[in-house]
Amino acid sequence: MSVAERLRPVIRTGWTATYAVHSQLLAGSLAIITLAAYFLPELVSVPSLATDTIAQPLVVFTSWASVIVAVLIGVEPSWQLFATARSRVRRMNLARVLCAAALGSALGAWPSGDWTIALVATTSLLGWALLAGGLLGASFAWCLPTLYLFATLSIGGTGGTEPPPWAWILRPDPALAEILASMLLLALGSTAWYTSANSVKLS
Amino acid sequence: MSGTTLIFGLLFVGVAWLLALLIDVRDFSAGLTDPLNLSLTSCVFLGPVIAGGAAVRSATLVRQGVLALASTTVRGRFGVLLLSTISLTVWAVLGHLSFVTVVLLAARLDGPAPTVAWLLVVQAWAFLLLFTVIGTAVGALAPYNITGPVLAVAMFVTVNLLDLAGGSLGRLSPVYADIYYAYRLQPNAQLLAGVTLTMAAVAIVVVAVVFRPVRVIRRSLLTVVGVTAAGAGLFVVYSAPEGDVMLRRGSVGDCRSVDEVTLCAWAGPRVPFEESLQALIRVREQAKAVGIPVPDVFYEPGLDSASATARVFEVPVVRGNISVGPTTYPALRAMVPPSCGAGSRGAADDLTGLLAERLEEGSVDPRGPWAAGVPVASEPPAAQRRWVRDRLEDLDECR
Repeated sequence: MSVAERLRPVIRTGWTATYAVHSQLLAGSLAIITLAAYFLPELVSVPSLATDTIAQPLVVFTSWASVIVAVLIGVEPSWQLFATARSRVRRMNLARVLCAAALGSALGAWPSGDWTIALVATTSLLGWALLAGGLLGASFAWCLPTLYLFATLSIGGTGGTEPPPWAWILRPDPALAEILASMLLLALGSTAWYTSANSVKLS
Repeated sequence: MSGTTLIFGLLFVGVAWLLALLIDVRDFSAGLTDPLNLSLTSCVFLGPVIAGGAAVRSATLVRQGVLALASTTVRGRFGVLLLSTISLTVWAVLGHLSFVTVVLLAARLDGPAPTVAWLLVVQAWAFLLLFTVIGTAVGALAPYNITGPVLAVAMFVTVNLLDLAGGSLGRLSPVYADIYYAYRLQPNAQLLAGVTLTMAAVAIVVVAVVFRPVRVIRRSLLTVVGVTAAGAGLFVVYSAPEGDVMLRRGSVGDCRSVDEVTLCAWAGPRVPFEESLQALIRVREQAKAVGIPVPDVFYEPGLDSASATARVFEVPVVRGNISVGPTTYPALRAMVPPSCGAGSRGAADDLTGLLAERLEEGSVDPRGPWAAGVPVASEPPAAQRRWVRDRLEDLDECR
């Protein structure tokens, strides 16, 4: 029996255990997101530099939470071994991340029906997350979407009640250009994530 | 890991720089204080992310067994965690400096530049140091993937709650997000010094308790120093004057006169002298007509009064090219003798209301307690003067 054949059950056990933890994390997070979306008010007030507070749709926060959970369950137990896997497996990893984010944000948007805001927020934040994951590694993937969200909430309202163009995830009625920009960001991030998984940069 | 820290740091500096470019600072008052306060406010989003980043880094050190291995060396885990903290703090400060530089380049700096405003930058650095230390400590104690983002959110929520909290808890807020510094205002230096000292002291305590220094420095000594410094910091915070802002103090300032009226204001290009003097002259005529003693000299708060009878006139705040607030309201307030309690405040409001009615400016904005109108305004002048005399007697108590 070769070394690879002898290691295969060990690897399989490790991967199964990791995926079991990820499933629990996903299930728990989705339950929390759903409960928050149903039982918290539709708008959340946050302090702002421009005014004392700015009311924001809760769906922006549930989208952010979905994205963070999605990139966390995208972490593989061993990126070194993962990089040697067939491309279909790497595509599955990316698909798992995208599906988890979509599911979480859909559950978060369900009570309020803010589908467009959820779409723009999720695609933008997920784009940032995958980009950060590709550049810094999967464990740092949360940092860019979090920095972007906190910055938009804190100073995105400066100069008036209408958010500036760069804080497009806070716009109550996103324009087509903003939807396209967020899609482009997601495509860029997905490419960075997939390419990095191929070259073990996600570890 | 060093490669990751380098890329994380470069990305952090780049994003901070980019955000500074995107912020519109045209609405700020001219001068140094508002841009520097914005740089402190930037810690609301930079701080939690650097804390989360520090947590991920130390969690990785634990999971990779580096901390366990380091425990067998002379410096122990203390050396590794301290090095991690220092490297991330340096990146955080560099990110903050890039933010400050861009904001200062974009801002109008031809206004006041009180030295105390630089304390806002020092406080920002203490803030970033504390958050990096806390992040490193939490990551070492809870080395999970989820620790970073959860800690970042917890920090963001905590800072915002402290900023919104009033009372004694609100005094510990490390940021002053909703404050704009008018010409006559400056940061509360003692409060800033106290909060900065407290944050640095808490960082020392966390280092002593969680990083567990051995051989390099005695852990108990570090704890005692940290706790003592934290106590001193809290004492300075709670003995500081009330309020997040304080009046600047200065000499006579820039004085202009029209007819008999003189207005002295903080020197600067933003003072609407012409409108303010015209408003003062119009209100002063009405005040003289009903027997209210009126001064010739008015001065902006914080300046030395030129004479004993001079009254305070709050020059309307100007941000960018927008004048916030009309000149009639401060002129009305300036013409009535100051009040000192509930009873005298009612008398002052009555007199202000009468002057507003006589000006025939029902639309004086903001409308004060006299919004319902003052009936005596429609009575003969002699009755008005008697009515005014009664109220002036109430206000005499305040002299």
